[in-house]
Formats: sequence, structure tokens, C-alpha cells
Amino acid sequence: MRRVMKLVVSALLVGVVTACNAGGTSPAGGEDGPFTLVWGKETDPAGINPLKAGDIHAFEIFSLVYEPLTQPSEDLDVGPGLAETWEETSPTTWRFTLRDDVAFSNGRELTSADVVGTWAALKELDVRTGSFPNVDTMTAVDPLTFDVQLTAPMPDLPSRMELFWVLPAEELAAGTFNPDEDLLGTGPFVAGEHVSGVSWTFEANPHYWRDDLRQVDRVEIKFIPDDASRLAALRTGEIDFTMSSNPDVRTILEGDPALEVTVQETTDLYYLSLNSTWTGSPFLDQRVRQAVALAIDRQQIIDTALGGIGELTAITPRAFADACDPAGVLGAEGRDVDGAKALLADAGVDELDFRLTVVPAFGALRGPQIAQVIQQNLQEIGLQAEVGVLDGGAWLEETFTNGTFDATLNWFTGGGSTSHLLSYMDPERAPILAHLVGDDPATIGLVREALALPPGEERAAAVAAACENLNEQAFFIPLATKPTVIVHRTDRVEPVLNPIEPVQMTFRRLAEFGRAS
Amino acid sequence: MSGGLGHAGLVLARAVATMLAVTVLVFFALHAVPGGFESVYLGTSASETSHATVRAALGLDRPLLEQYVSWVGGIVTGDLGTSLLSSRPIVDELAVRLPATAQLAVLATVISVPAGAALGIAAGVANLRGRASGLGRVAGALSASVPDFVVATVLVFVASQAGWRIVGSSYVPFAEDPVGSTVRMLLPALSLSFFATGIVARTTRDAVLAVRAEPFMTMAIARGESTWQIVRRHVLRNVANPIVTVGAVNVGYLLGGALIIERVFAIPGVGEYAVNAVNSRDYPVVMATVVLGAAAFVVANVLADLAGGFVDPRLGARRRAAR
Repeated sequence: MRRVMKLVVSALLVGVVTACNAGGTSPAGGEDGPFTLVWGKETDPAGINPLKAGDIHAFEIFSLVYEPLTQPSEDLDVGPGLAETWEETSPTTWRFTLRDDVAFSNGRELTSADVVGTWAALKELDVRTGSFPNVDTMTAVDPLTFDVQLTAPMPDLPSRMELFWVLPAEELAAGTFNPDEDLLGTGPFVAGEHVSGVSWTFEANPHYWRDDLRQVDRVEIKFIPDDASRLAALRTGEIDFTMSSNPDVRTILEGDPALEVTVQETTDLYYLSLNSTWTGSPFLDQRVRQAVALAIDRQQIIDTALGGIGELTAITPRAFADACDPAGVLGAEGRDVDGAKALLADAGVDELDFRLTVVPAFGALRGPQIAQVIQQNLQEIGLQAEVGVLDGGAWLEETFTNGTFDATLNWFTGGGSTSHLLSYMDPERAPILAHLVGDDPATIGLVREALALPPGEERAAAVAAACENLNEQAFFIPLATKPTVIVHRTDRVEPVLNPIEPVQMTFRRLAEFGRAS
Repeated sequence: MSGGLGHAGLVLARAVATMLAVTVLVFFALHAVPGGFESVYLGTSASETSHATVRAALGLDRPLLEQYVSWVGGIVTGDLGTSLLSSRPIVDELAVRLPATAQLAVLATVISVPAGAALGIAAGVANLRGRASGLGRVAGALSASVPDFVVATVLVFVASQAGWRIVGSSYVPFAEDPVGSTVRMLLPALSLSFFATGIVARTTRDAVLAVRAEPFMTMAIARGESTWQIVRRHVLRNVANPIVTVGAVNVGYLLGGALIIERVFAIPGVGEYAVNAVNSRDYPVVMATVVLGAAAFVVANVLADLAGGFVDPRLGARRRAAR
């Protein structure tokens, strides 16, 4: 009887193991068949409407289907996208010319009416218009040309257009296309079967205008929320590539020749905001804010919380030619604990308890770990930080709507030029961020001066002056850059990634991914 | 007969009152949490006007009591409402996700109850100073103190090292492929059942030890019955009721634990759906999942209560005598 039981149990185990190994798909296809990429993605986006959605998960999906007017080049210059050329015809008018060989995936040709219609829809909803400051109206000049009228000069408008995805305005107006439910763009893929929270398939767009560049025939996305589980699926070959937020990913995967870790630089950065506008904040005194800035050990943040993946940065991303010097940030060249204590003594502060909020839900996945480093650093100067991890809704309410926070830690997209983050420091341009960035008139004046200038030496000097003032004010303290970590199977795929990405679209060149040789 | 119906009515009334209290508590607590749906949905760039427009369009600007009454009205007529986020009927979204969670919970129960009962009986029947008793206690303490996510993460690691394709193999509904679906669910169910097994084992062991002290056990030993006969005739009958009760209580735990297990193993179940709904303040979805969870818990307890009388006839007799 016992022998029979043993046989039955053994047979069951063998069956289970065999079934486990037989499960899943065969990624990347055969050598000659259609090339299918299997992407292990963290989460299904909450919304798919480019007129509304603004989170990283949605951006990644948009980059498969929609295309923007301009695209960043490998060295962060503004390059052509759907718009082939552009020129500043007056200080407040830009003229763009579209490519003449672009069609939507339904076969209809792209015209300037689509751009104008997309802008009208954006304005009507008024959710993402903040991404295009100073843009007043857009008018079609001819089927391939349109003008953008501004309320004030905007020398960096072309780089802002890297986030202007063009929708099919004709179908939108006719009601045959609902951007909340459907995806219809000019990009390399068209959306296929979507099982909410499980998978999403994208097929090749037969009308794609850059078909010669496209190597991938099909993209299969598997939604795997847990980071460790995504790495496990990569190891077993169930997915071809993924992103990881694990700071130890390089150590974990060391010794596995089938897996390669790539770090893509971005213009994004982690920041600490000390509330200088709310009367209940303990950081109304500039000296207290400066003491915090001096006491933070940024290198410790990079080495421990970020696993060595990140660099020192100023308020303007260091990748740009006219960026500020990261060494100018208070305490960036080394902590000054004595200096911090002296500033606190000068301000009459012996001890201070405050709340430091973080919001991993919006992509600051290492936020709690960074906050812990800051908490330890500040203990040395007598400041006790209570770290509070908030969900997205609670953080938005407290930080943006009410402005009733002491200190908060999050990250910003760096954008395609120095003006992107600098414009956040002007409450008139970004009113929703007013509590986050303070309201010092001198700072705002310097920021506006820099933003009004075209790229060049004069602007670089103005940006440096604005940064110097911002560093002294110390209400917005840049901590470190926020690169992206990509892991792929070397036996399946050769990813094509720009060395640096300005607007969170890591896989903007996914269609160009090649088969592993 | 009428006494039995009366008891059932009482149990049912208690269940409905419990569910109503849960919905009141969750509804008002959820709306008291800072950050409304429109904030999360529109993100950081939207204007106040856009926020107001969204609130008005979705009826979120109405008084809370009015919203609650309206929601209860829908539930009574079987309408769970529409997701604020996806604009799809919640019942359709649950129809896709509920089977996965139910399958996970059932499989975990199928593993935890027999395994826990067997461990508990073995530990209880064995000599108190014996090796089996000691092992049973250690196993029980271990399973009760190691969190689910640790077990799940270790199992995912082991599976990946062994080359088993578990996490990235998309979930297949049981109805489409019973064998494949069960195999895909085996490791998640094992993770989920770990703690529950310990609880069942400890409860069973305690019950067995109590039974061992009864005079009829001494009689059975004196009659020369074998251990297996004693277990089958006397122990099992007496410990069945505690096992059924703890099994029912475990339903709540299994539903809660499913939140984490579904995330680790990428199972598109109700747990992940509920967590996302809480984060995005999708109020109707949160309420629907809460009602569902509360209903499952209440129904399991009602069934356990009713089953108690069948499993142990003495309970039914006591209830009748009390009336």
C-alpha cells in the first residue's frame, strides 16, 4: 500500500513539474518567423487617453501607438517627429510643418487639422494643458502647416512638443473614436487583445511611415506587479525584458549570462521640498531649510538607497549644456554638519520634529529608503523626521490642494530642456506646484528672466543665477538623478535604447529592438 | 422543524446586519480619506475647474448620505454599479477576476484543512513528549509566524531557479483549462495555505488533547482498540466541529492574504483589483469588493454554524434544549 502511495505521489510531482515547464509562451518567436517581443510590465495603465493620462505607465503604452510632434535625439537635441521642420516666425508665433508621408493606423493621412483638433480637445478638457505653457491657440495654415500662437515668448516650445501626441481629430469629432476606450495613432503598433491586468497584445501598424526601421512584428505585454516576480519570469524565459526598481538588481543577476542589466540615464531627479509657504510649516525660516540641505548626505543616498544608480544633480538636469553646476547645491560637495548646527542655533532651533512624506505610488519607489537616509542624517543636527508613506490621493490632497505639509520627497520628469524643471519654480506657470516651490519674488524674477531667453550663453548665465538663488532659498532641494534600469535576455533580444531619456518613454524605440544574434 | 427555521432566520438576520454595518463603516471611512477620485484620475496638472467638472459628472458632489442611499438601492436590486476609472460595469470586471480569487481560496482551503487536521491529529495523538508532538508544535509555530509574502517570494525564487514557468505564464481560467489552471495556481495556493495550515493544526491539536482526557478514550484503550480505530471512531468525530469553525474563520484570512499573493504571482484576482481601486479612489469598485468579501466571510460562518449541528449532533440537541 505504501509503495503504491509513493508511486502515486511521485507521478503527481512529475506531472506538476512537467506542466510547469510546459507552461507559458515561447518569447521572441523562431529565427525566421515573426518577431514577437514579450515585455514584463509593472502595471496596466489606469487610463489610456493621451488627453488626460499623465503617468509613466500610460506614457509607455502611448509610445507604442501614438507619436509626438518632436522627438529627442540621442544627445537630447530636439529632433523631428511628426513635425519635420519648425521656425519661430515672431516672438510669440511658431510655424510647424508636418511630414507628408504619415497616416493613422486606419489608413487616413495625417493633416494639420488633426494637430489643431488635438489641441482643441486638450484645451476643452484642461488636464494636460500645463505641459504646454504659454500656448494660446493653434491654427491650420494648409494641410501640412500650422501656427502656434503664444501668450508670451517660449523659446523651448519645440522640446515641449515631445509630449504632444497627435490624435485623429476627424474621428474624434465624428465620435467614431473614443480615446478613453480605443487607441488610434500613427505609431508602429495597433492595440490588440487586452485582458485587464493580465496581458495586452500589440500588432504591427500596416500604415506605419517608418516601416524600414521596425524589426518587431508583435509585442506581448504581461503585467507582473512584483519586481522580484518579474525578474523570476525573466530568468525562466517567460518574458524578454523588463524594468526593475531593485537597487541590488546588478548583484542579484550577477553570474547569469543570459541576463544583462542596462542603466539608461534620464533627466529625472529626486527632490526634497521644504514647505516655505504654509504658516504651520517648521521651514519658514530660510536658515532652517539651509541647515537641512547642508546635513543631507547625497552620496549616502546614492550608494545605499539607490544602490549606486544615480548621480548628484542641480535643479536643472545635468545632461543639458546650460544646466547648473550640481556642486552649487548646498551640501553637495560634502555634508557640513557643524555649519548646519550653527544655522539652527542662529535661528534659535534646538530640536525640531517634523513629518516627511513620500509617495511611492507615483513612481518614487525608492522614496522610503531615501527618506530613511535623510531621517538619519538630520538626527545628527537635532531634527527628528517622522517618515509618512502616503498613497497618491492623500499626497495630492495634502501637497497640491491644501499645501499643508512640512516636507515631502518625490521626483520630477526632467523634460527636454533646462526650462522644463525651471518653469516649475514659477507659480504663475505651474500654479498647482505653488506650495511645493515657494513664492520668493526675487527667485521668481530670476527664473522668468532665464525662461524668456533662447538657448545660448546668455541663457546659461541667467539659469546659473536662478539656480544660485534657488540653492540659497533651499525650499526645493535636488537629491540625485533617477536613471532607469532595464533588464533583458541576451539570448532573445538586442534592445535599442537612447543613452538618455527626457520624458519617461524608455522604450520609445521598441519597434527597433532586434533579435539576439 | 420550526425551531431549526427560527435558528436559521436568526443567523440570516445577524448576517445581513453585519454586512450593512460593514458597508456603512467602509463607505464613510473611504470618503473621509484625503484625495478624491478626481485628484488621482486627473493627476497633478489639472485645474480646479476640471476637478469640479469630473466630480459633478460622476455625482461625487452630492451629499455623502445621498450617495450611500443611492448605492444601497443599487445593491438591493443587484446592481454593483460602474467603475469610475474604466466606465465598465463592475459586475463584468468581477466576473473576470472573481473566479481567480475563488479558485485560489478554494485550493488553499483544500490544502490547509486536511494538512492542518492531519498535522494536528498526529501531534495530539502522539505521546506528548514524543517526536511527532514536538515536530507538530514546531511546524505549527513556524507556519503561524512566517508571513505569506516571505513564503511566496521564496517559492517564486525556487521556481525560477528550477526553471518552472509560473509567474509569467498568464493566468488561465479554470473553465478553459482545468489542469493547466490548477498547476498555475499550485504555488500561490501553497503560499496562501501556509499560515492557515498552522492555525488548523494548532486548533486540531488542542481539540485532540481535550478529547484524550475524556473517560470514553480510556474505555476505548481498555477495549484494546487500535490507534487508527480510536482516531476514526472517537477523535475525528469530536474534533470535526472545531476544524469546521476554524476553516470558516480562515476564509476571511484567505481573502485578505490573497491581496499579497495575487500581486506576487501576477494573478488577476479581486485582491489586486481592490488594492488598485483603493489607490485610485474608485469608490464603487471598493464598495463592491468589500461587499463581496464580507458576504464570503459571513456566508462561510453561517454555513459553519449550520454545519456544526450536522457534524456534532450534540450541538443541535443543546440548541433545542436551550429553546
